[in-house]
Amino acid sequence: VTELVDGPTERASLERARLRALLVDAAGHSEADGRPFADLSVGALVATAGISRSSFYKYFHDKQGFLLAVADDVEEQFLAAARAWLDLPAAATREEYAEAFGAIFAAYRQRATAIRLVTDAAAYDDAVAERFGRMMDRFVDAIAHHVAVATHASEELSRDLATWITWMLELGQAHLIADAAPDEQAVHAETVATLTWKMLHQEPGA
Amino acid sequence: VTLSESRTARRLAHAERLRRGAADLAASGERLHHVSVERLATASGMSRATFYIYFDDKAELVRVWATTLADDLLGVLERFATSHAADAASHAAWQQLLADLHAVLVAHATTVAAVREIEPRDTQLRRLVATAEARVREHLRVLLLAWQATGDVDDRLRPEAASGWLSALILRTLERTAADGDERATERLLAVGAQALAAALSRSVVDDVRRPDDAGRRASGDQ
Repeated sequence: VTELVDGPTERASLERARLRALLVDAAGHSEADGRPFADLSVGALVATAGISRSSFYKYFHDKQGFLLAVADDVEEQFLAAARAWLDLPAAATREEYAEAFGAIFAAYRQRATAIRLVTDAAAYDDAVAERFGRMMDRFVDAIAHHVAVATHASEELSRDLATWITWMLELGQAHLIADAAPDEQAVHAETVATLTWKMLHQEPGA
Repeated sequence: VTLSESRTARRLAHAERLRRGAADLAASGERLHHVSVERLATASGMSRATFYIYFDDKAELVRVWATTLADDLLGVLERFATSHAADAASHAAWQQLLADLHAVLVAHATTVAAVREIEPRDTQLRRLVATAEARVREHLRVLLLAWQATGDVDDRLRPEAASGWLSALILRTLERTAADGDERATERLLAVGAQALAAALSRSVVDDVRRPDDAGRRASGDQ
């Protein structure tokens, strides 16, 4: 019975995910060719992706709807990847942090184009901006929880520290991780591990 | 004063008038991208024709604004670098730096919003922002090298990589607080940020395991 109900829904959601990935790649290629996503028509986008216009409109309302779907996917994937770090116990070592950030950066690279499309659009599209803001709030919440567990700091202090760390990761990954070579990526994981670990564990004023 | 110098000065004066006009439009909820040159010029008390004497289009105007903003931010950072080249910045010094950068970003709030809005469509502006950020990173890299030489900063940090993350840490959060406008929350956030910077760079390290009791709890599987 479950299969009868869920089967078509699941196929539809898989197809939606497949199209979303094709469209993100197409947007990335267009941008590399000097055609910003912001100025791309749905027609040009689907032609680059090699899918039909009707397939696009079957799964996405419009370009904005496509971006909102991309944001949903990115949020889910990044939160899942962040667990490698956030689920570490209070007494985790700097080495464990480095390993976790390595995994987080690997996940980021797989969706670097997707997150850039969302970040860019958030600057000129109110609905995408609102969606992006909610995504970042969830990241701050998740990191604040980790900070509170690791440092026993107050909720307010944990949230403030989490705000700095969240936005550092957001911009830092866009600039330093998206195009990093594998050995550079390891250095960055080590660097971010050292910085964040000490922010949480170094005694103030020492 | 040569002809080209006075033209440059007039161009900057017009860019400033247009910035105030754009700020007025933004205050009533009009985004720069959707505002025509005609509307922007009128709101700034000049004609469309005057606009085009000095600027090819809106993107070029935003690039002029962005250059001014970058100069101001780098000016603050250069003063910080000069006064702390010899010894590592204290918590108070970091807090002053964050407060000064915050003040620049508040003063240029219209520019920050315009840059973010136009950047995805203008590769020249993207390059300009990237160049400014690279200069911020370079200041921080040189400082980290100097502070590691004097033994003030953790040797394990590689200045090349660490400067990139510190620049992201400082600029991105400040960009958000500048747009936010909640002064009390901002003051608290800047104090926490300064503390975090001082702790992250500090040389004295509590070793890689935090506390014996935590390590014990962890070993017994209690998370």
